[in-house]
Amino acid sequence: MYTIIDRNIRNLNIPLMNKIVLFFLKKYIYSPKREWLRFDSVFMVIGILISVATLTVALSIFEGYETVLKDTILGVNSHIYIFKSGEGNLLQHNVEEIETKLQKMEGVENTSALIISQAMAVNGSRIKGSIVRGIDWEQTELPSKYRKFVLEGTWKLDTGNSAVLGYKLAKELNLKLGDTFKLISPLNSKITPMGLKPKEESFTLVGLYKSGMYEYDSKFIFIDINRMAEFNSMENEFTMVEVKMKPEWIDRADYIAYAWEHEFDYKYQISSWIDFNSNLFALLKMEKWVIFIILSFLILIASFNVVSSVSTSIIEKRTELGILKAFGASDKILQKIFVGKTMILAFLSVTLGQVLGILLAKFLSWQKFLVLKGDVYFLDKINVQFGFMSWLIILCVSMLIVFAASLIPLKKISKLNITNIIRKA
Amino acid sequence: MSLIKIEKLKKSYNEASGKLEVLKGVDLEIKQGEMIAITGESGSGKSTLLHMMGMLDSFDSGDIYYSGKQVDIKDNDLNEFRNKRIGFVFQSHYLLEDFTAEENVAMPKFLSTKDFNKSVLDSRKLLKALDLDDRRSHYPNQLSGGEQQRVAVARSLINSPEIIFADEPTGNLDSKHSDELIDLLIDLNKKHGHTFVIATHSKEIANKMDRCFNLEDGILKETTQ
Repeated sequence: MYTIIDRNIRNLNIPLMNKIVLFFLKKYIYSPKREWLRFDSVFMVIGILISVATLTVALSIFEGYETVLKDTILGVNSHIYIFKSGEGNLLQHNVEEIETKLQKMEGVENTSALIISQAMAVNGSRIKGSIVRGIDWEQTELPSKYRKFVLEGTWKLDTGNSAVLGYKLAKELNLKLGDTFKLISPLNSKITPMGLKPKEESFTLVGLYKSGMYEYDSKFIFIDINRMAEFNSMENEFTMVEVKMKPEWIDRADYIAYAWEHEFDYKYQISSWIDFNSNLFALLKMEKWVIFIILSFLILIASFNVVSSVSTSIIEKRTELGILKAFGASDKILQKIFVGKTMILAFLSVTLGQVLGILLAKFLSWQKFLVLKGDVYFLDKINVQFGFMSWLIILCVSMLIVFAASLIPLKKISKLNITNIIRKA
Repeated sequence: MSLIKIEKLKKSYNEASGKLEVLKGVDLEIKQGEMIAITGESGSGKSTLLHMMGMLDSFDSGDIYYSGKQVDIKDNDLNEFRNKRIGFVFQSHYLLEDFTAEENVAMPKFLSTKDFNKSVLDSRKLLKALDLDDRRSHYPNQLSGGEQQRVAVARSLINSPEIIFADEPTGNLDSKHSDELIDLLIDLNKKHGHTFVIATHSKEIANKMDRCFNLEDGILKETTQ
């Protein structure tokens, strides 16, 4: 097969088109007989269309998943995290030094210090392990999209012990807006005559947080940074400084983090979102292309219809081919006409397949009966996205496979015996 | 110098019953402007001979010369050679169904010049000369048998070839249209000096030609009276 294709490609003497070929293709498109509506052509189109649509749906879902996951992770966590090197937390003067220096750095959009710790959230008999984030919620531009993700209640943490909970966590604790719950921190236990007593405080649920990422929505509790400092006995101490980068710098966050470590004389441990999530995104990318390769075999199978359709067309048109050859048409010209016809149909099929695939993918993201398991897939909703590169790659790969398949039967044209055709016709 | 010269042309076919020798060493010389008739019974090899002279089919042995230059079926530029120097008219018109009369006539010229507009203009002139001007936009299935064959003649002339091979051109026509077509070919020969080689069953048509040959048992003999 390879040899046949290779030889035929050489015979075709690409670039393919010339005036004669274009003239015949125009005739083919506007032919009153609608040759392209022939039974075998229609099946060829359907085969390519379905396989391309399947490939498009799969890639759209993968791309949508990857994009939304990235947006969510970055929305919650910001881009660069600065911790104290070694033991202990950042102190007030450390934060001031960092923020002063970062203000002069290129690519930095905003920064914020916060306190993070683990605690148990308790409502009656329900207990859940949670991550408590003490944030400076009054800061207009936080590195994380905290305000955007509070979908119910208020994001303001100004009244006493108010707290915003991930909506899944609230559901698991059976909490509604306005309810109170307890936060228990074993790390801040006090020695009492009765033994160790963990730190315990009541908070009121004022808002529900929904990032779309299961891990965050089922674990996060947000409280005011000053309350957090009191609760954790961390006055003038901070866990880290979060940094939000300008969009064009986000994908270089790991290099920037590395450079900043040197800039700050290695006093701080600086990490980026890429350091924490690179394996996940590398895996997603690899899975996407593995799926692409596997599903491309569908197009390969559909291309068998192309071989059959071109062969049938050559047999049906053998008299015309014989006459054209008798009047001086070269095999190359005739082969180009057949390849051209096939490529027109293939282009239409691939384009329609992509449109159908996008519509199907949109339907999947819109429907409610098929949902992802959030605890397994991080996100609980099917998201779709279809980028220009995916469109281009599917188009090129499909057209290439169809082109190669269309070359296989072309040898029949050069083997046509003019005198046999004239006599039999 | 002769326009076409054939020396000891042999052709055989392998059949189930054994080797069938169709041409057993045919010699023929045709001059520019001649009208030649080749007669013979069905299956005598008239069409085979025409196809080989027209470089459509291969032969076992022998030589074919055009204007003194040997031509071989394996030549690389054979398509161009056939396109520019040879015209064909077959028993059936073999017009392309999806193309109008003028497009069919223009086709050989379009294949060589790649200039569609110029080819169609020449085609129109030719159709006008053959009294088919009002039929130029018709598709083959909208033309009568006689008109179809006249369009086929026009197609064979579009590139002003040195020689036109007509294989039973009147085979599918009634006697009226048959006479009209042969008169047309004779007229073209007289006015423009086109060379014709016509394979026919008809003695009447053969007698209208400059020279006649009969093909029998693979041997070509001149029978001009």
